[in-house]
Amino acid sequence: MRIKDRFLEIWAENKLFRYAVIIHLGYFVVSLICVLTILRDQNDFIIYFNAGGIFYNDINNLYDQKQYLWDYRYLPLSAMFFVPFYLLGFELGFIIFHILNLIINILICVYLYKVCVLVRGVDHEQNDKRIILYICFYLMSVAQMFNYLLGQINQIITLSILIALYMFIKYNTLKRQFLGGLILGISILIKPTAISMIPFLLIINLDFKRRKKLMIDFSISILRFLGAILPLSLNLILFFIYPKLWEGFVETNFTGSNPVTLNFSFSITKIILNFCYVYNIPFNQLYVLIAVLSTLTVIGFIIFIMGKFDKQHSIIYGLTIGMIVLLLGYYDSWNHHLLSLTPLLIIIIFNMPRHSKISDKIIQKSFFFFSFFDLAFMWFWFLQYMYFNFPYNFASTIFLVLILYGISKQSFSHEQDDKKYHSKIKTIREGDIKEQNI
Amino acid sequence: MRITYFLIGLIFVLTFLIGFNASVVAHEYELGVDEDEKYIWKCNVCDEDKMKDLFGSGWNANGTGLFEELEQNTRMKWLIEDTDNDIEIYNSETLEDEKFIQIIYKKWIWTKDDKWGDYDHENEFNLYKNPKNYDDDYIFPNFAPICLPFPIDDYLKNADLYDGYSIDARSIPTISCEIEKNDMKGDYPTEYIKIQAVYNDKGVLKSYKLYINDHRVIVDISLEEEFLFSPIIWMVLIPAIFLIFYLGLIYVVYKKLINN
Repeated sequence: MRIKDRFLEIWAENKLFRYAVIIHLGYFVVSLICVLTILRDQNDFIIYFNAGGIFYNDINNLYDQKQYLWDYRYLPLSAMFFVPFYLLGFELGFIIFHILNLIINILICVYLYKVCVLVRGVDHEQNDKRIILYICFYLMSVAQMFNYLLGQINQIITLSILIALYMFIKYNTLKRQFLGGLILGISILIKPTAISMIPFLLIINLDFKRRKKLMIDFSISILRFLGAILPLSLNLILFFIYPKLWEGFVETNFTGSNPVTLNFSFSITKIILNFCYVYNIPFNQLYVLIAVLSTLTVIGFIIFIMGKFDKQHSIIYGLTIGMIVLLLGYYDSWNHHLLSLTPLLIIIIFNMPRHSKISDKIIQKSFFFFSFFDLAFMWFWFLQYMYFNFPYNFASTIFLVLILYGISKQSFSHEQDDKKYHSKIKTIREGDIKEQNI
Repeated sequence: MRITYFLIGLIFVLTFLIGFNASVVAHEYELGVDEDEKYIWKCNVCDEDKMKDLFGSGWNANGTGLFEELEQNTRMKWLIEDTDNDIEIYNSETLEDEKFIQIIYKKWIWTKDDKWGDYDHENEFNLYKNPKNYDDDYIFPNFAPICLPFPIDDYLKNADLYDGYSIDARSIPTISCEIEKNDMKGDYPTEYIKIQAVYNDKGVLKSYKLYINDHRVIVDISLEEEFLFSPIIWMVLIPAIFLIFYLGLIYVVYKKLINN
């Protein structure tokens, strides 16, 4: 009831919010009509729908790619999630799925709001206008339309990440920390976008300059880790019972032909593979993947461990680094995957000092780029590949690398910023006290 | 109250959409190429010795399609004479009339000459109208056809192709085919091979690469665009220009558009 009242309140007073909601509903309706008519046979939902059917009828053939228009790549248990939609039939199944995505998007906004309020720096505006502004941008993001048009499931992943993050930050109890990990694990079960976030669930810090001491919170770290691993491990049972599934999963995701086909993925791995393809340079796709992913993971982990993040909020940066590692490292990183990253960027914007240069120049700009311009570069890629055979889509790559750089810079210069930041907070607080006295 | 009306309206729209889609028609496969169009392919790489090792000495004999007299730095031309998306032809294997998609074309075999002169053959290129008519575990001649009907992914997914085939038409229509050692007639190929064929927006072969292990290229054929520049410029200058243009565009987006 409170959410509804607040919604009506914002609706009445905020013009941009009204536009954002209407535009988002426009995306919803237009994509619904498109998928049920002109895109009836060219969408991702049809892959999920078929996967649900195969899981229900003949699980052994889950990774037989002849059954699908495009490859089914997710973990085997994820197909179970799509069985109800299969049983409803394509049209009704899609409509329910589409409405579910809309509801999830509303919940994303709610949790995004809650987390932003929770982690917001003291020097930020204490009213919620700016948070609502960013939520409006998120709702209007062009990637939302693309996501709806494809019938994708990124929103489920985003919501899980946000709920997990909320639990990690808001509650200190071991039970909630485990639950947060579990929710993240379930999201990976449905779609493995968040898989590279797992190492960053640890609460670990190496104070290299002062004490040269590695500090780790074992109980919380292990509980979060176990929570995330537990749902994933259920797949092992399926792999054990149906060994063909393991072969299919590995081939589809890592060793087969499809991960190396030319496309507009902006991951570093794909850019390297495309380069090798164009210039006939021999390569082994798995070695390239391992080299890029491990390099990025090591860099990310060094930033995470050695950076001077606030203990309570380090998880925000950890999950963001984890997501960036995957987007830069895995073969296929598409525009709609960014919908799971942009809410994390919004949270970082509110967690960093209000006038932080890194936030202004890197995080905010990256957020706007991913929300409104990235898709244009995809179309541009198609256009120029058709005529000029230049198969590299690296605009988003640059912004992802920039974010990684920004986070590292912020974390390593935190000490300096801390002094300024705390003096600023002190001034604000003193101002507040004076105001109260008056 | 307004929300109630909106929801009722939405239910009507959804019901209409379900009804509208209740009978989804099967695909009509159609060619993207047209009469009088010409296509020129260039062979950038061809390791003839390796091809002989892989497929025997007759690998580029008459009737081997794309491989017929293939050599490095040669070009091949097709001039489309006629196309038919629905033609009945007597099939000597099944002893029945069957429906095909047909292209009649004039062919200039791989040559190093700059001037084309007279064509070498006039040929027919046929594909089953119904992809289900292909034999089980079918392998296309030269592993990937020169031309495919639209929608490409649907057509190929409906054919019962050899297990090593993998189709990806999500962004650019691509056929990949991995063939294990001795998996073809006559115990060919003599080692693992992989073919990657990319098609253009007309369904015409744009790039064809035959690899051995670790993506070492044995054959590289590409559709020749009507270039104004030499290949060196094409390989170096154009990517450089695009790189600068791309970076410039990103800079403009970063500095101007987002700031505003």
